[in-house]
Amino acid sequence: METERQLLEAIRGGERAALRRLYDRYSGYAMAIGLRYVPERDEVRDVIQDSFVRILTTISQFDYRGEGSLKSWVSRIVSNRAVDYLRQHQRFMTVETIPEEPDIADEPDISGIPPDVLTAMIGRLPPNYRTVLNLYVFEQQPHREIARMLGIKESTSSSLFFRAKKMLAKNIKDYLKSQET
Amino acid sequence: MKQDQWTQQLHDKLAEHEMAAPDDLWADIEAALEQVPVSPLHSEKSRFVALRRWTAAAAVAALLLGGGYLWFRQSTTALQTNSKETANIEETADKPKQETVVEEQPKLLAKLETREKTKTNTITKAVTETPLTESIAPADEVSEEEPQVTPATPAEEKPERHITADDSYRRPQDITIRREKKQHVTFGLYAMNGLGSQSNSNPVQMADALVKRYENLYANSNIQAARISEPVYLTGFEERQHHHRPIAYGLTLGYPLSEKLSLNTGIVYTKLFSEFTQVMRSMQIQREQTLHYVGVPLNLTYRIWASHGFKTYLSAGTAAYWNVRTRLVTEGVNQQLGKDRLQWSLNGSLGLQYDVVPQIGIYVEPGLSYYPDNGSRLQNYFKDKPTTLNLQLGLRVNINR
Repeated sequence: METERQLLEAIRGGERAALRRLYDRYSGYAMAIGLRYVPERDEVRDVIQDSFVRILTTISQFDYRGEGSLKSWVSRIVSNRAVDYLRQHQRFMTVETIPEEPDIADEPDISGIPPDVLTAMIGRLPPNYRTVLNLYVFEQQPHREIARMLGIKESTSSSLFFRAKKMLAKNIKDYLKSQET
Repeated sequence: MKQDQWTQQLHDKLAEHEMAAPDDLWADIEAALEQVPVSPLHSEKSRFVALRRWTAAAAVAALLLGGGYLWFRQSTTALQTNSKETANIEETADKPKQETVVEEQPKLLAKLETREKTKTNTITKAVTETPLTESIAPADEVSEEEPQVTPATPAEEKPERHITADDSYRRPQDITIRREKKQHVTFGLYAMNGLGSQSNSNPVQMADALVKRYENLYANSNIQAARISEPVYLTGFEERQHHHRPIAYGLTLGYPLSEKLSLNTGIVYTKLFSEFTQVMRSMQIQREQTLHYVGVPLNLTYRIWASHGFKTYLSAGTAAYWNVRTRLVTEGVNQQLGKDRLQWSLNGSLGLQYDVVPQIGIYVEPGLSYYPDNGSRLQNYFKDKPTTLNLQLGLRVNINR
């Protein structure tokens, strides 16, 4: 299998087909990320298209730092574009306007849940919940950085994450219960 | 960042998950790419990063060691001269008057550390053979200055002003003493700002891959089977650059070579910040580039004039800058950016210094710097404005006084 380095060298060498190979390799991965932020398929299409145009037009500035670094970069671009999209097309709700979720005593087991279902569950969370959850859990961003990105307080980011986690846990429990019957 | 166990499970479950993208999405992306030039990757970079870091580290270490050595040498020589001198005087200290002279020796001899042994002996003679007020007091900055005492003159310089009128004071050995005492090793710190930021916009050249496609098109249609040798620029595309004024902070070490000439080196941190906007018809991509350099200057400074604590000087020299850190943020996304090559500069400046107290002076130094092209592909202030005016404000500590 072609390594990321070989792929980048091919692009550097002016091989246009290499751009397609990069897309083929990471479009599914980008799609899964995008759907966690923007669950509507026709909307996420715009996010993914915009992300790949940016990836392929700014790839000359990408500095290869080992296998996997290109994939991480793709993830960051898609994530940022998705956050931008949500900002532009939806109004983030403030913490105060979100009703309190009931406490979930224990976190449900997620090992048996299909990834597509779990992705859809995250996508159904309120936009600011899922944005913070995605940035914290999958992009591994600290709350301070999330707060800076979204223009909110660090404590708000932390609060949104815990509420997102509680709501997701509840939805998972409901799903598991529905599967039992 | 620490994740709890459940959150980590969630991460592991979905981190590598993939979902099918729409079938015709690539066609749309490709259509968009037709409008956009795709540049090849940078080829130079990380291979030299380690070497550059080592070079920068070596330069800093050499500077610190050199500074430490000079400091140590100054201190040691001063102590040695002091003890030799004290011994000489004690040998001849059979007169009550000379005991007073011995008490005054540390103050005088601490300023004579760079003198040769023979000259030190001459000074000893001067000390022992001349009245106390004549041998010690003139040692401070007296020579070219007016005999009148002004309010701004430090109190310790006052006694010498009575002596300058005395002909016996102007004996050669005494003049030698004065010259030696003019020389000071100096430490300094400063801040510098380039004058004026720089903005421009450049056309965007069609990527090689796309140019080749046009060539093939021409060849197949038998219209013109020729290579496109000239650069092809895209209409509606441009890159706007805005380079902010450089900011620098430095530490300096000055070592006297003669009465008026000194050699200055040090270490300087420089930050360059630039904003780039790539305009691709309806789309814009913003990039913010921050470059951090550590530089080592080497300047010769010539003192033109000095009076009443003021002095003016000319300085000229060169500096080498190592790019130690880069930061590139494209549309809020941190990206890797290779480091710049070693950057040289030629510098000239005119300085005005005022010694607030004999040990500490403040200075202002307008100057002109030239940064020759270092051949790297990074765009920065140095490349866009190779000749630049700058203003340096700083503080100097004369450690021998």
